Amino acid sequence: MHIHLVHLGRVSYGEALDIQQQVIAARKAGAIGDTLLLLEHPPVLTLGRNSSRSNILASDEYLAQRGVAVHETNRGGDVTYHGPGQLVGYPIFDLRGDWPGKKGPGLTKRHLGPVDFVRLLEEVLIRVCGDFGVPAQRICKRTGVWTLPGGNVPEKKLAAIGVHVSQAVTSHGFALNVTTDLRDFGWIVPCGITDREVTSLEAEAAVPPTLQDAIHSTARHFGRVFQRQVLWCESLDALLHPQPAASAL
Amino acid sequence: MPTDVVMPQMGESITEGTITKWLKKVGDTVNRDEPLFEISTDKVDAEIPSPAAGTLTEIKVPEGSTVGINTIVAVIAESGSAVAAPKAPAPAAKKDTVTPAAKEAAAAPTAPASSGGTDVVMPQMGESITEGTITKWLKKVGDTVNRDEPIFEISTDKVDAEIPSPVAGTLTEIKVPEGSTVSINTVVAVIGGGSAAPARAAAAAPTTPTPAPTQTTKPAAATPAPAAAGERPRSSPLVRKIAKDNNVDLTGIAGSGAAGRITKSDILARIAGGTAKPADAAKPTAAPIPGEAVPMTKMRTIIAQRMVESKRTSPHVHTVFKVDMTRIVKLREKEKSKYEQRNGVKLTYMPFITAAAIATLIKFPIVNAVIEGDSIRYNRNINVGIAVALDWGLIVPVIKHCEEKSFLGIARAIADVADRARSKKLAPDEVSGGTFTLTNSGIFGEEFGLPIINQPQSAIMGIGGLSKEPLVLTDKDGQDTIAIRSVQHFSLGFDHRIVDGADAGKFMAAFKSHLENWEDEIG
Repeated sequence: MHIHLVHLGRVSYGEALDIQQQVIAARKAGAIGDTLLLLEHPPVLTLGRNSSRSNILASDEYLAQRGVAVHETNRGGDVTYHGPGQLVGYPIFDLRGDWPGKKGPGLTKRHLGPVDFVRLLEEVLIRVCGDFGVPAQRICKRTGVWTLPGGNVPEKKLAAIGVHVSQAVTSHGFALNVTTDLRDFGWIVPCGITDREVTSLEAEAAVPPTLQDAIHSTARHFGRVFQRQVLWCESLDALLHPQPAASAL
Repeated sequence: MPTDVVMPQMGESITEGTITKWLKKVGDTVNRDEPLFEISTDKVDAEIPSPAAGTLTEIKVPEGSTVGINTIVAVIAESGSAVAAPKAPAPAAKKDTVTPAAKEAAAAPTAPASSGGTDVVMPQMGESITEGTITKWLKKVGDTVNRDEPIFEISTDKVDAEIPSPVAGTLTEIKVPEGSTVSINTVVAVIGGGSAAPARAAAAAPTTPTPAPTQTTKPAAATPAPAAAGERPRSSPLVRKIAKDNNVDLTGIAGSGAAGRITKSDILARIAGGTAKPADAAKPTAAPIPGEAVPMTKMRTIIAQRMVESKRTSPHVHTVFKVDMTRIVKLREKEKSKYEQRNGVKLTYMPFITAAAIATLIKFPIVNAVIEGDSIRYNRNINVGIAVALDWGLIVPVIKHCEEKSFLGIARAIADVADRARSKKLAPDEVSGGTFTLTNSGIFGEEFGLPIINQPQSAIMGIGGLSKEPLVLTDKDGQDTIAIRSVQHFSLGFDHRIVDGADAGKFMAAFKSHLENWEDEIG
């Protein structure tokens, strides 16, 4: 069993939603295996199911003038910002599959719980930050990946997570700030958290990170944490419509 | 008539070639189109075929030498003519009627030694080579040398070679000892002398008629001998025709061609000047102007032409303004890293300057106008040309309809045309139709330049170098202070036929103000 990795490049949020829908449908139908989509968005604000519009501080005119769209989504979490320099990942996994740490009654109904799934995502991202020399942690009750506090500098948020599960198939996922322009977070109250700041690997690491490096690191750690081999797919098309000779499954 | 074999031009931009290997030796018979030698140019290695059938009588350029194109590198005597054996009657007279290229390799004695011997000179082994060092004399004074037998070895900055003797004879004098470095065309040795006659063939009677000595003054070695009296002088049908038409008797004309053949220029010279062949010796082959003559590329010729025309057409006036760029420098510092990540194009100063120019051209349309006969056409579109320096010249791609573009659009367009200019991917309509030009010579650190207008436009803006200078700043209370500011000079070259000093001044003042008080969105 594998995880199929597809790198989509920079895609608009709307387009990425369509892609997610296609992949989710295929996964549910059993046509493809577990898939991880890695991508970047142009500047966009998204609202989760628990969000409040009041957490968007910038005015609608300001956002419109800059071409920043606002999307309401079905993922968990509050409002967040996606933009260039931020690594966004959408793991489309079937939680009934063979995953480490599965719990549940009997042998057939065991599955990975959504919360456990999120904890595993945090684990992946903590290890990715470690690759760049940035020690990171999870904080109870505050989903996401945080820096370690030091002196009178409180912890800052490196990565946000917001997931949706439908018929045991996950969608949406995480957003890790690699070289994100952090000024753009000024347009919102990120994740509804007022008392903590957002940061990026660039701001925290000694050596400037690149998005490419972050992608490779993430792929590696997905494999380790989820205990699966990660296979790189040439394109979305190759994943969804494999040529007869080579089967992606 | 012997055929000169020249260094061919293997391509438009190729100006020289190196002989890597002679495939035939002197004395070999060659057929037409049979490969004669191999060359290496900067783009091509090739075998060069013989232009004629005959016998290879002389190799003028040894292997490893680099010579300019059209330099004579060898001579082929047509079949049937006497092969020039080293002791034969017509030594060395292959230096043909064709004026040798200034860059001929192989010994080219410029004037005969006073004793009548043959000078051996330091050859020029390549176009840019100006001197050579004699590393070893292979023959001593008094030795007999055969033609083409190596007599000394040289080392130049590109080539080490054995230099063959241009004639057969006795080495009478070595003028330059081993280890010395001399300039090309310096006489380094003399072969033969007053007593050279015995070394020449019997037929080379000193009783040659008067024309003969004058032949020696040509940059040929050795007195060519006319055929012995009684023999029909060898000549080509063309020469015989010329002689007949002009009622000239061929006997008694010294032939400077192979085996004493009378060549075309021999007969013409005889017709033209009779006896005295005026001072060919005084010909300035003695002292060519040092330095290489490189033919101009097409682009260079066109640029030269356009520049002269522009100055001739427009009465150029220039005005220079100093602009405080600090605000823009700070803005750029703040935005540049994230700008590229967000928009995919680097944020340089050019889009700021171009955007300011466009905004100002909208306000002062005369600067964007063009003369059409007796009228002034006020161009509605602003098509800005950006001068790009290339390795091989200069080109001005044009960004059309700039008045419609946003800051980001301008930034992208500038990056795009500059890139395509350097990789030669511009379409023809992208280098024409401009209404205003920007030229950035400031990258080299100048204060400001005074550029030439790009016809048929009426103005051009030169961008000077960006540097830090102390400036007087007056705050709103009227207090003056000195501060360190980033400063750049901009010069406007304008056509005084339609743009007056006042127009130019107002234009530049508005341009300066736009930059100093930058408020626009950069996207």
